[in-house]
Amino acid sequence: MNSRKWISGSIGTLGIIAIWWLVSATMFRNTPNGSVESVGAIPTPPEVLAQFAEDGFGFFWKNASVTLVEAGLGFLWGNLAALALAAVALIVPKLENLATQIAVITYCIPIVAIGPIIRLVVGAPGPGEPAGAAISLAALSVFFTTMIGAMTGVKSADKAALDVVTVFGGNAWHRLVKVQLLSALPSILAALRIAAPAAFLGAILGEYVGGPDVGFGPAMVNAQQSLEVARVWALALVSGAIAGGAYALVGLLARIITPWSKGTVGA
Amino acid sequence: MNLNDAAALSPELGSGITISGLTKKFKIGRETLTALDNANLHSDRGSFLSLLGPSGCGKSTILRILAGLETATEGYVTVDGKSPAELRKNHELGIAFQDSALMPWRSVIDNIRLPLELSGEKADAKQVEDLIKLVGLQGFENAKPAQLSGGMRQRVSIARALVVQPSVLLLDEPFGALDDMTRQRLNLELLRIWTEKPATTLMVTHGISEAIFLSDQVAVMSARPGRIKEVIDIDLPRPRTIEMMRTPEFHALHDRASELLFGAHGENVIDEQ
Repeated sequence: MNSRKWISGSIGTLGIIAIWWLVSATMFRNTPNGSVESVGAIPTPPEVLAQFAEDGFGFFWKNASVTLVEAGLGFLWGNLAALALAAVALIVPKLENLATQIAVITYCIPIVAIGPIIRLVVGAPGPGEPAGAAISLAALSVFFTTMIGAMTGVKSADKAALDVVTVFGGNAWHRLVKVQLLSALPSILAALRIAAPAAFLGAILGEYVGGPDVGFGPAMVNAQQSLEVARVWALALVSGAIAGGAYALVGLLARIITPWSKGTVGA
Repeated sequence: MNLNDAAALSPELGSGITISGLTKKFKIGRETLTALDNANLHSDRGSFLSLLGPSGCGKSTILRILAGLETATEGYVTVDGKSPAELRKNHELGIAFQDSALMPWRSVIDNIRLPLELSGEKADAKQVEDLIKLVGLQGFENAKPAQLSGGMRQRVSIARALVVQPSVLLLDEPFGALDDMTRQRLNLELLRIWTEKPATTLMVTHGISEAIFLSDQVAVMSARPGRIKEVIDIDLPRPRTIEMMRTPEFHALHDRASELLFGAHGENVIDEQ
């Protein structure tokens, strides 16, 4: 089962690389892109690899470290705010609709539209510093999923298990601690898993408007403006890999923390 | 504590389960549904009472009121003179549902210890160990519910109900979700467990045979509105054995209960397995 998954996954990846290679080597080979180098609008995989080697690990790390700090801080604050709001909605059921509305609004506002506003509010970062706007947009990107995940999680608690705690003399606090929070963990962790890459991509978008001088956002903009096509691709691929890695890491944590959510749960 | 003393002084007033004029009405939209209509019942301390009836006859409602999970519209229930709220506060209730309602993240032993955590009692390792032995789960102490069969989960659920040595044991169709063979085997087990750890018990069921086999009294109920039709005294001697299920006395009791359930015109439907 698992090995079959691996095989099909590898075939998929190889297939995509093959198509990319084919397209870049044929259709887009001689498209004029204004570049002085002989790279087409879509570089071939070896060209991107060569760019990796040329720029070196240090170049990627310098930019990734800033973006990761922004994404990490945004992930932290966004999720804390989401969990706090979910807790308020649970303790005061009357506020539940309002809380859900706030979450939906954060989800519906186009990040590109709110970015400049946030930039004006938080100001521009100093040289080499993470951008406040990037942190804000990363936080905004995770807020909705975590808040909704926490709410559905707590509500998914087994009614009979809650009854059992009540009958054995437990109060609302016991129900929350012994049943509801633990029942909510798998769905909160599932939400955090989606939030991890979302925070990273939110941070990159935030960098476009936030004005930091280092980070994946400015690095991509610079590469694009100086027509370093292969570098744009390399940066995009690395940021994709980091986002995927964040997703996998939180998934792994979830499996360690909530082993019961895998397999059949008592009927 | 005062109530305890009062019950001890006048056992004839407060001993066992007393259900008096119990009525429960639910509001569904603008309509009022009478789930339970003026139920009266009494069972002695340490005896086994079953509520037998079709779905929707209010038998689970009686149990849920006794458990303090719902409140009566009229009338009252007491166990040894104490109200459900008092029983709950004093951690004197034990309950097992059809759905074992175990916490999937807790091991067998931690699930059984849950009521002790809630009552703040120190878990007596020996007592918990004996209980696990009593329900036949030695060797599975550290297993998670997902690793157990349905029957084993119900055993855990019953051990959990007994761990606080409750004044009243409430069983809501405890084996209702199991297959027939497992169910019969667990009924025998329950009889053995109950004989070793006698507690005033109220069981809700729609199985005629198991009600008669286990109980001292069977209250037969009818639906819409939920009423207690008749209370059958089960005078089969204890200890009970599986052979008794083949005696004419058992069959006579079974016929009596069926007659009450299906009615003279067969207007009541029962989903007995």
